[in-house]
Parts: sequence; C-alpha cells; structure tokens
Amino acid sequence: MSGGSNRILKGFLEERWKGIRPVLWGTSLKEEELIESIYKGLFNLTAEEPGRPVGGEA
Amino acid sequence: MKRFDLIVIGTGLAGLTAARTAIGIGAKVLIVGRGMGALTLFGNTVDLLGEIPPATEMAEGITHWIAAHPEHPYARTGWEGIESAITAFRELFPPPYPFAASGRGNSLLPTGAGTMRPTWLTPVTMAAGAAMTPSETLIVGFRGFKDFQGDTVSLHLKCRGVVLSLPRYGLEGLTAPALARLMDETSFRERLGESIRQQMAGERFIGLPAVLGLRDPAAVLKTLETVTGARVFEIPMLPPSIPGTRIFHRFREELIAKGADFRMGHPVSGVMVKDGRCAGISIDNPPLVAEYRADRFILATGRFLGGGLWAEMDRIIEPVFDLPVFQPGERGQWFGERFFDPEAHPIHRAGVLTDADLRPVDAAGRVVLANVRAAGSILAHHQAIEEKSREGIDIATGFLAAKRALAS
Repeated sequence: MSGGSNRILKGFLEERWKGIRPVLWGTSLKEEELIESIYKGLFNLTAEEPGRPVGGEA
Repeated sequence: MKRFDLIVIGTGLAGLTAARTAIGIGAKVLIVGRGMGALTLFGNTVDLLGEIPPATEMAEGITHWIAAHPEHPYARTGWEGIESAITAFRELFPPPYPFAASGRGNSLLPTGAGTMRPTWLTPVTMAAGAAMTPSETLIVGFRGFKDFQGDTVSLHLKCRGVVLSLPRYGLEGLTAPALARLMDETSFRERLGESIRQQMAGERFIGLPAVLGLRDPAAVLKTLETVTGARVFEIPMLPPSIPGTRIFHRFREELIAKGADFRMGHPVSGVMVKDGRCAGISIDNPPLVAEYRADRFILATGRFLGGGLWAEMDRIIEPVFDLPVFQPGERGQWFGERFFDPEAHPIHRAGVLTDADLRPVDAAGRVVLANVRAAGSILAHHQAIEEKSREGIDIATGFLAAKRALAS
C-alpha cells in the first residue's frame, strides 16, 4: 500500500504530459516549471526505481 | 534622478543575496522586483546538491562533482565561493531561528507527499525531521486544510497520523498564511499543543505542516515542544511557503535597515544601453515611468516562472536585456518522452551563459554588456529541480556577482 496514492499521482502526471508536451511554450511552459518544481523538486517524486538508495519514497 | 552603485533586478534569493552582499561592501543599492520571488513559493531549506549521498562529506562531494560538471554555475564559484556565501547567509539567521546542517553531508527530511528528500541546511523548525523514526512519530494534519494531507503523509512515512479540528477554526478553506498568523498567537498555539498532547501515544516526534508562524517561529516551536514533551518539526508542503516567506522578510528587513532602496510590484519596462554598457533602467509605475541609473547591474530574474526567461514557439529569449540564451536544440528536443524521464528535460539546461565573472556572453564567448552580471537560476547548465541545488546556486552566484560587480 505504501506509495499507492503517489503512484496514482505519477500516473496522472504522465497522462497530463502526453497532452501538454506538444504545446509547451509561453505561459504553459511557466506552468510546467511550477508543476515540476512542486512534484520533482519539493516532493522529490522520481521515476519508479525500487530500492533507490537516496531519498525518494519511504 | 537618483544614481546607484548597483541595481539588482529580481527579488528572489539570488537577487536578495546580491543586494545584501553589495550593501555589506558599502554600496548604494536599488533592488527591483515584479513580485515577491520564488522564495515565497518554494523556499524551505537550503539545498546545495541533493544528489550527493548523505554519507559523503559535502565539501568533498561537491568538489568532485564540480570537476565533472565544468559548465555548471558551481564551477564559477567553486566550493570556496559556495562556503563563503553560505556562511554569510547563516549570519543573517542567528539563534533562535538558525539554519544548520545536521551532519557532514546531506540529511533526509520528510515532505508533504510523504517522501524523503535530501537537503543541506534546515531551519531550526525542521531540524527534528532529520532525526525522526517512523515508529516514534505522530503526523498532525488539520481538518479543512487541503494543502497538507496528513493521512497521506503518515501512510507513506509509515507513521501514526491524526487530523485535528482546530480549537477555533474547524471550517473549510484554511490557508497556510492564515494558519501561520494564528500560530503567532500564544494562546492559540498553547491550545493546539494541548490538543496534540491528548492524541499522543508515547511518540517522541511530532510532524506538522510548515505553518509554525511568521513572526517568531522559534517561539511557536518552543511552546509546542514544551506542551507536548516531544520534538516538533515542520514538513515542507505545497506553495505558498511560510518558511520561504520568513527568509524573504528577514532579507528585506536587513536591506531596508542598511539603507537599500526597494521598488516592488512593477516590471522593468526598458533598459538604456550604450557602447556595450547599461546606463539605466525604467520601471513602469502607472501612470509614471521612473528611470534609475547605476554603474553596475545584476540580473537575477529567475527562469520561466519568474519571468527571467520566456519561451516563444521556437526560441527562448531573455526579456530585460535581450541577452543571448543557450537553448538545447529546437522545441521538439526541449522535453523528454515521459514526464518522469530518468534524465531532466533538456530545457532545464537553457539559460544565460557567462564568463568567469558572471558577465553574460554570446555563443562565441564575447562579453555582451560589460557592467551587467547574471545570477541565480537564470544561468545555463544547471538542473536545479533534479539536482536539488536551487538555494545553493542562488546564494553562491548572487554573492559572487555582487563581489565581482563592486570590484570593477
């Protein structure tokens, strides 16, 4: 169960990426930087890597 | 018209650091900013380089890392430059609200997503997070406070969690600034501490969202620790950031006390450039346009979110001086296939290229404007989000840019 809802969140972010990637410039690129700063930066969510030695999911 | 020794454009951590460094040398400084800067969104701890493993001593880890990354902003400052800049930063935060490293290397702190995240310096209100163990920790959330899901955090961290109805405010729609202001009231935090104590089952650590007051967070921490008998820590969470707002307020207080001029809330609308030098800037302050002149300028306007860079459909521009911007290929090459690609998206390496003095250069390496320097995340060839290096780059390059500017 651990990491369950973060897996759902990551799935959502991947789906969102498919739609937004073709139009990333201007203001949508600003928003993209905000999203990455939160989920990858602040929350340290990463691609699934079981047993990562540093940080990542508990 | 007022004339300044230095005008700093940007009120994020890089700009604030540059302004404070210059004031310390005795310069007459103007700092201008469109908004409050990224500190109030993401400021929490001071990251230097999260990818250095916690067991590695930081000076050694970064020195080796710089050797392998000669284009990175840290290669301009070196470890010595980082260390002096960080020492100066820490002097701005004496006890009771100091920033400190918990060991010789990075420590891991819990986040608002229930993950662990590496960082270097933590404010005293977060320090216990690096020492907590799941079985001895209680995570406390607040009913109606949607920016911090205490039950998700406790689930992922494998801790026990409770969601409290606050003594006075059990309603929907609580915000971080509202909670922080409540914490500033002694009676509120005493009652909160008592509510937490009643929920405890022998835990030695209490984790709360990072809202422990704006005015005197150390006093909030002390009250909660005294009432609960446990070590209390703040957990970084979604923007806006209360801990980052504290950093911003501390810098602003210091800069104003030392005589710096602040112009906030209005964009730079034009620059006066002549013979390869900048003579002044104009700021839109409707219905007026104000002009400010200086001998030197530091550009610390951030990346896309802060407005330091702007992406058109096929190229990236720097809007204030129209500086040359390094960009990784065409737009199709800016991003990876997946959001969570193992490598950072190439666009994050885009930015302003500089010489060793942090003066912007063109693709051939020629200095563009002799009296302008760039600092902070606008610089090319870092990946601050993935590297976890945002504050380190801001502090080290802001410090270096001011030293070099005033030496010329």
